[in-house]
Amino acid sequence: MTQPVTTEEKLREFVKFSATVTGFSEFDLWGTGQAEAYHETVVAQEGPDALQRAISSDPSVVPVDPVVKSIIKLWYVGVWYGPELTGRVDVAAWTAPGRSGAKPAVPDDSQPEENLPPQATPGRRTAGGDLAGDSEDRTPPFVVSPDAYTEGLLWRAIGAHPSGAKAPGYGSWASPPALENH
Amino acid sequence: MTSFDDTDPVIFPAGAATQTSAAEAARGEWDAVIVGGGMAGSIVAEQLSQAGYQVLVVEAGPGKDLDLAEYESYLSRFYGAVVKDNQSPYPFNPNARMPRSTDTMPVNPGTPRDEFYLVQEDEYCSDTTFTRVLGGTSMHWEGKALRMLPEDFDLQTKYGQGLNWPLSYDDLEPYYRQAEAELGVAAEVEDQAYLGMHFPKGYVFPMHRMPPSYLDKTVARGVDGMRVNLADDDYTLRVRSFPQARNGVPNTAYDGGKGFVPVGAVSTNQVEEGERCQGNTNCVPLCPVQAKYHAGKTLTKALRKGNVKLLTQAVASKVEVNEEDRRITGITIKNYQSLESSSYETYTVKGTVYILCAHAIENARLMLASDMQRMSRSKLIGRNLMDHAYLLSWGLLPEPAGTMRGTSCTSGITDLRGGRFRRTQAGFGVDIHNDGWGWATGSPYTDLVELVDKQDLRGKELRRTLGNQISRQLLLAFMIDLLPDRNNTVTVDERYKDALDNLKPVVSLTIPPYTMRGAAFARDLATDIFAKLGAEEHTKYDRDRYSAVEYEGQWYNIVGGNHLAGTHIMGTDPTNSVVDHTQRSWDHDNLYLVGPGSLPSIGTSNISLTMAALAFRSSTHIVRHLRAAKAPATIRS
Repeated sequence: MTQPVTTEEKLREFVKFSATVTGFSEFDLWGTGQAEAYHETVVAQEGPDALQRAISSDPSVVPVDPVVKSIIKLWYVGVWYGPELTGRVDVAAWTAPGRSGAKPAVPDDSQPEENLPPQATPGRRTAGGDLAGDSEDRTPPFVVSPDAYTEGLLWRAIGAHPSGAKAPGYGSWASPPALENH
Repeated sequence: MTSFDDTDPVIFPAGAATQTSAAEAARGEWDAVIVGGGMAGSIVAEQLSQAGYQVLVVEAGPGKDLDLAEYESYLSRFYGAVVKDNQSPYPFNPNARMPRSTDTMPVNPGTPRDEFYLVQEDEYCSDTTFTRVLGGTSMHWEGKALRMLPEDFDLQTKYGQGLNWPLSYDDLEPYYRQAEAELGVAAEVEDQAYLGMHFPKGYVFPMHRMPPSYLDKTVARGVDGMRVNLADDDYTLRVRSFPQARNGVPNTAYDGGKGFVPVGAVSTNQVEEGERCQGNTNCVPLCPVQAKYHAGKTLTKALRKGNVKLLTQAVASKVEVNEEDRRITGITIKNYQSLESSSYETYTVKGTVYILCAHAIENARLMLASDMQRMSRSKLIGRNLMDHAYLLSWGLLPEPAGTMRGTSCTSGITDLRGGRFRRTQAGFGVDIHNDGWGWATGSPYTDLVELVDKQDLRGKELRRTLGNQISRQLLLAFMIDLLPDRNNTVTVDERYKDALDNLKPVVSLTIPPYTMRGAAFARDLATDIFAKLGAEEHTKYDRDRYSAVEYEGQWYNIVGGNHLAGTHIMGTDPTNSVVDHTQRSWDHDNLYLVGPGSLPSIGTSNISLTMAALAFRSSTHIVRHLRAAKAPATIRS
């Protein structure tokens, strides 16, 4: 495989790879309008070499490269969960839309009010739970942009729409679900 | 496009929110000063406005003119927020903090003073919330608009539990209808006439019921006709539609055939929003299209006549009381300049009557911080704090049921809201959650992490598994009655102050055995329902959470309902209650406490509709009060 050189080529390669691991077509991925932002996010967070390693990894090998897992989740919900947060169900609960029975307790002032920038300070103070950012080398999760949330692939995969966006219309919920069959 | 149309009630008069300054407001002599621009405050303001009175509304939270841009900024903040709890659309405001469910843990006396807003020192901590922005908690409420049952008003007489109301269902019934019109309730009388709830002949709700979800219909196939025996009585269960304050199809038979015109989105100019519910599945924390009622719709009407003025970023800090006659002489406010700084100026605003509409916790906090318990004959300010105790049960249906679509909840099981079993255990309503396991587990994000990170799924298999798994989720939320108990309290403590040096509310809430007997019964009922539906049980309670409650050797997680009530209960005399049946303070002639704090019990109804009905009822009494107070002395004597 020829190594891509231009940014454009690198982006195309990223999307092609993402299509394989997400189970959505390249058209679907381009259609989200998030490809550039996600590519930049992965490069900024993990560096170009880690991304290249992830792309070159054998997708049939288990366990999957943690960076690949981060990329899948990025496309599905628009949140960057760094590879060091792999398997953190508590962090996932914290970031999920909806009521909060399952959200781990954290002090008020440690909760980001806006989406955190990628360079957000690691090591934010937390208590009561071992949440993201509890050590110096962890980046807390962040939503890449408001649009990244509404463009999450997860919602399409479950035959629904992002909570709070792309509403299907009055009374649509009364019909049986139409799940895409793959 | 017309920017202002006098006949359209939802066009917010541009500039109305900035017409007066704190300094100017303090120079005026108002007929009424209302603390709180939420549902209760907006209803009272609108009613007094119609009667021609000069009204000042002071609101602790931020809020400029209610225009679509500000509303959309809430939505955008929600989309971008990494923690999407039910306060996530609203800006962090150090000067008028609000509790967040994610800050639930015991506060130790040594804890830094700014760590939490709601201070809880007990082992059990409630994750309940209320919202301090213009519009109040109606911005994030779900929109269920149930009436209380007739038997809820005399629970003590009937079942020897809780407290009686000084009012009956029939006393409140006309005001329930007024509230249903104001909030725009979608329901059918034929669904809602149960357990004694009655309606005048020919009454129809403003709008037709929300269509039940496919999930509701799936659950109904197993539940309808199911029989349970409770305290020697048999009950037959069925899935029933909930009345909801959100725009649906108007009922042409409403108001004797005049029909009903739904209220659309509030903005300073006409916008194509706020029509029928589109199924955003996001009622809590914010309806993206304003199909759901929020207090801004009422406040807009109040502000349009010009005799109601609004002052935002004004935190009521002290109620000023004349020690001689105990009348209120003013409300001292701290008017802060921005959310970024805690610098503020202090003013005292004055009126003929004062109406505290700041929600159960803030009304009590403000009165206690003003040392008013000293003058209270009942000593009940801040006592009898209530909230619905929620127990969640979740399972996986055998077939996809379309979970994650619709409004948050369209139907439930209401047959066990009332009955003779309430002598020994709490009644409850059951919500069928259209939004899946999210409340209990953090799904669907947690499912994603499980499948990707732990099961190494990817590609089409991941996509297929997620769809299959989440579309089958069923969450039943049992909303269990919590009786008034004087030991469940809001207090203040000099050790805990906020950025403006206001005392923070300290909350202590215990879930009593009466409620837990209901919870234990609910737990078993959920298991039976799941069995009927062929659903796989997934419920797990965690004893390490702050919501853990032990009952008869079993651990349960009891989560808060955001239905805070009871901190200034109404009753029949000054020794058993804080307010009378008009919500006037027994101890201060010109003070009204309007809001859920006045409820002597909450039964199994979400509190907002009852609070709204009471606000309408009290408004008629406040108008009478003002008429008498402002009449020439010769007539008065």
